[in-house]
Amino acid sequence: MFTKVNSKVVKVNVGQVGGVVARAGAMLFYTGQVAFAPHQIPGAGQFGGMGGIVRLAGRMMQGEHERTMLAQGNGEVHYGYAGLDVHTVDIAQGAVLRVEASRLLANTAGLQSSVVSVASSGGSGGGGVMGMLRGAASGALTGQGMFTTQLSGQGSAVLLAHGGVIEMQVGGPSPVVVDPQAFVAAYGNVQTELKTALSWRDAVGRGSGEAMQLHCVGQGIVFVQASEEKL
Amino acid sequence: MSQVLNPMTLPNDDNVPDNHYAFCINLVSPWFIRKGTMIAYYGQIDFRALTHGLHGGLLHMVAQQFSAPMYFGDYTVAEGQGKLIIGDRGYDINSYDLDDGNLTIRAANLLAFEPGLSMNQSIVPGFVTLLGTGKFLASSNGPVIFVEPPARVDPEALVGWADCPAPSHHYDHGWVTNMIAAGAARFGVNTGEERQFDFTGAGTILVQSSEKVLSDSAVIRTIETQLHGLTMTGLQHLNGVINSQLASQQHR
Repeated sequence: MFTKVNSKVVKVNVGQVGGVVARAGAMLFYTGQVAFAPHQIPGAGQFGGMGGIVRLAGRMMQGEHERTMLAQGNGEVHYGYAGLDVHTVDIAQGAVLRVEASRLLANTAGLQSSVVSVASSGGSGGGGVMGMLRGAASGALTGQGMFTTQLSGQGSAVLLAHGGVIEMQVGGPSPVVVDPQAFVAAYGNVQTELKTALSWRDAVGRGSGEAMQLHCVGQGIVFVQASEEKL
Repeated sequence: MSQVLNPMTLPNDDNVPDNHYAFCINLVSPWFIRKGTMIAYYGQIDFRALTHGLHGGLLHMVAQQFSAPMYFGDYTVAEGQGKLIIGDRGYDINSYDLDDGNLTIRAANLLAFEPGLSMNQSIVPGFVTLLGTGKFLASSNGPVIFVEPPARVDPEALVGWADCPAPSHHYDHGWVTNMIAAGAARFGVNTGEERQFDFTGAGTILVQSSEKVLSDSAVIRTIETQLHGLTMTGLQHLNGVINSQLASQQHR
């Protein structure tokens, strides 16, 4: 699994975890025999075939695509990206990690990655057109778009954040409320819903600056960064 | 509340207390300092350009120790008595001692060095080699990781290396094994890791988390110096390559 070397670098034994998918260009250095190949393009590794190109096109349309590479072989690889802080998450069988593609540094190749609609994770947003609109609005504000990447299966992933990451337990009597720009990822069975706390003060430009809030309910963990910088 | 510092409480040649991002030099003899890294000082300190106005011992020192004309404009000599505080882009700063050693470092990460060391331009573009005995300061994005060869390092993450032979390039094109992949590669599909520095032998490699903004002025000047004597077709070819690179960057 991934081990943190310092606040900005992780290392992983590629052979032990059976391959690692990571952002293109995120490798810092490695020892041993490791080969890097573009991920999810035709002809590369076992993910070949025309399915790859169709999936890629679909992902690009959804705005949930970062160029990734697959590392395979025997050796230890160190990863880091643009001097951003890293945070490791172990994913247990049956749980899901929902994270924006631009905030995902790496994950073990055994995890299934899919793109899901943010609207479907909205709790009381309801279905139909209103649910979709709500999803779109919250997506636009969190910088996530309408879709987000979902990882499931058993494995490990690394998140990227500006400033350190704190983990907050979701599941108590009251919801966890997060600034949409500080939101990094959610693990477990967590529903996120955007709420507005607008008042007449916002209309005249004297608002508190915290009019948009992300309410997280359910069971799990939300990851929050100590900054309001989008990635 | 944190302690308010004064010349008595500032450390001698060490990081400012509880702060990895600032370093205090106890200046008694001249140092070479990279321009723009001084953030504060106490005492009587003069900063002199290397290119003009030097004479006597200082001129002799520069002539002896600074054999990298490409970097003349980037450094000043700080001389006098006092406490000099250095900072660089919020990067971590560490000091290193060389004892009759040799160490090659990315020019953008070298902040200051004592004249006991001589600075020479490295064969690898954008890097300089320090030879001799003395102290130098280097910055890194996050703490420096020390690695022993054999290892392969991303060029952007490399801070420097000591004692081991200069690296060679390693190209990782192993994935281009069939027709379709070769076609995709021609259309610009890549891993961003095709080019690595391959280190062998005995020594130490210094690695940082990737640079946020890579200062490439040294590399550009290196290329510039190579342009003289190129043929017309060569220059036109370069022009085309640069234009297509520019177009793809604007597209992003």
